[in-house]
Amino acid sequence: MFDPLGMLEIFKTGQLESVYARLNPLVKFILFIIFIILPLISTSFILQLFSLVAQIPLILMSRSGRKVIRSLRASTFFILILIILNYITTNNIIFSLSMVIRLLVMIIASAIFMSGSNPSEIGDVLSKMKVPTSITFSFIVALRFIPVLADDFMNIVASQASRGHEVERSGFIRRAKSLLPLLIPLIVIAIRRAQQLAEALESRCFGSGKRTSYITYEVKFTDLLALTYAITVLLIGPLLATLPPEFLLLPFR
Amino acid sequence: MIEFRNVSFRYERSRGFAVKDISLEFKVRRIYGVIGPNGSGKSTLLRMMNGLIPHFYRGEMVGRVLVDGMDTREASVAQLARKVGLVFQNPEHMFFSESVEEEVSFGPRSVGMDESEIEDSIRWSLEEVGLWELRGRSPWSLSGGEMKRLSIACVLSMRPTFVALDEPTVGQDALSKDSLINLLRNLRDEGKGIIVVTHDIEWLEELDPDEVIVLSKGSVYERGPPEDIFSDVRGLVMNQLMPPISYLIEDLLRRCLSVRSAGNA
Repeated sequence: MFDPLGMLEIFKTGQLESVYARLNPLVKFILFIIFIILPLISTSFILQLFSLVAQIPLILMSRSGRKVIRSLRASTFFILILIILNYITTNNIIFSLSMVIRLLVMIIASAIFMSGSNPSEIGDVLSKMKVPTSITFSFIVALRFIPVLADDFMNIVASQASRGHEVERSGFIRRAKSLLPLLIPLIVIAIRRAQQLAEALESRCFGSGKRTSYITYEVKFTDLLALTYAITVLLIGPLLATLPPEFLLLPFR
Repeated sequence: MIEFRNVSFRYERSRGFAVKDISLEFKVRRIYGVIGPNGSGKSTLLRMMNGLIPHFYRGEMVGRVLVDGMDTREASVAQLARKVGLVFQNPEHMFFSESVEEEVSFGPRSVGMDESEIEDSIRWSLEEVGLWELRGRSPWSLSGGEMKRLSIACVLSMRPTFVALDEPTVGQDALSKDSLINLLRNLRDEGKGIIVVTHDIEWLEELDPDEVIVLSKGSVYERGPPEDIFSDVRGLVMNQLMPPISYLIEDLLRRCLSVRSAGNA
């Protein structure tokens, strides 16, 4: 139910070759932003459902179905907590479901975007949007380091298991204590790696002046199609948000 | 004894098998050297010995691995840790304690040893690797060679019957490599079985193992006494392995002489 490595899976970039992966990075970024903003426009249940369904073509286009399922499975723990907390505080099951679907839409949008983009593309998009290089680069490095850290974590778990260590299943404090032998080496390794990277960047003149671009991107027909789809979704969404949830029951009356 | 009976393993999300139909036996009081090119299945072989495969690394496993009669599928990794101590390539992956002594005590405490037994075990393992004097120091303040020896002590403290080492010479200087040879020979003489996976064939020749196993594409290419394996220069080169320089020169001289005698004839 709680699978940290599975959750990290969401942030693993550029693993899948697909029609989506070949789109212009800016178009992919616009699609991603639209699906992050769309469920936030209103708490309407119909809007949330629409946002979820509207992502199906993107999942198919990006061939990221498996990754999406794995990401959702890894987030089950948080999703359940969210349903329970929302229900306790609002006593409204429709509202609780809306909030959960909102979260699902965001997780799926992130999984699709990450699976079809590589960190350099994401960096280029951010640079084009005039985001300062230091921020863009930190973001790219963080993304690139996620799979590396996931591998390190797996090695740490394996080496501590070889010393008879097992993560406690019962009791919060016991469990937290048993995680220390896994987390301390991971933090130390991450800090050492960061220090090495800083030295390497320094020796390659990073930050010494204005950076220039290496790759240029074209806008193709598929990019225009994807953009049209994104705008259509963005226009229909707010209209659907005005409908009451009972609207869904109309065909059954 | 560790027995591999027709073992094959394919990692989850991997198309091919990392090891294919391997049948091997490892006995105590012997040093085994396992060599092979990258991706030949050396590390997978080690992970199977202490149950990390199939308990931690998921995939499809065929055949059985028995450690002193215990099936690694049925025994937990913690149970197997008292039989096979696995020393990883990167010692940094295991350190988290404030002192060397505390670090070494982690394994025995995890497997539930008695207090007095733990004390004896810490002293014995730290003396064995020559770090008893440094027991109060932080593991992070040690040199590369000392860290490697500490990682071996961490495993020895659980009193395993077998010690398996993955690339023990990586990042080690000549002196550290020498002391590693003495340590492994001592452990063998004290009755332990030693399995060393390495790319460092020169060092392996110096270690003088009792048997060398060459893995290639997940299968055993050949096995036997080091002299036989190292003198098969052609076989080693075919498997992208560089034979020890002395064997290479000997092979070169033999070829020159045979060409010369053929010329004279």
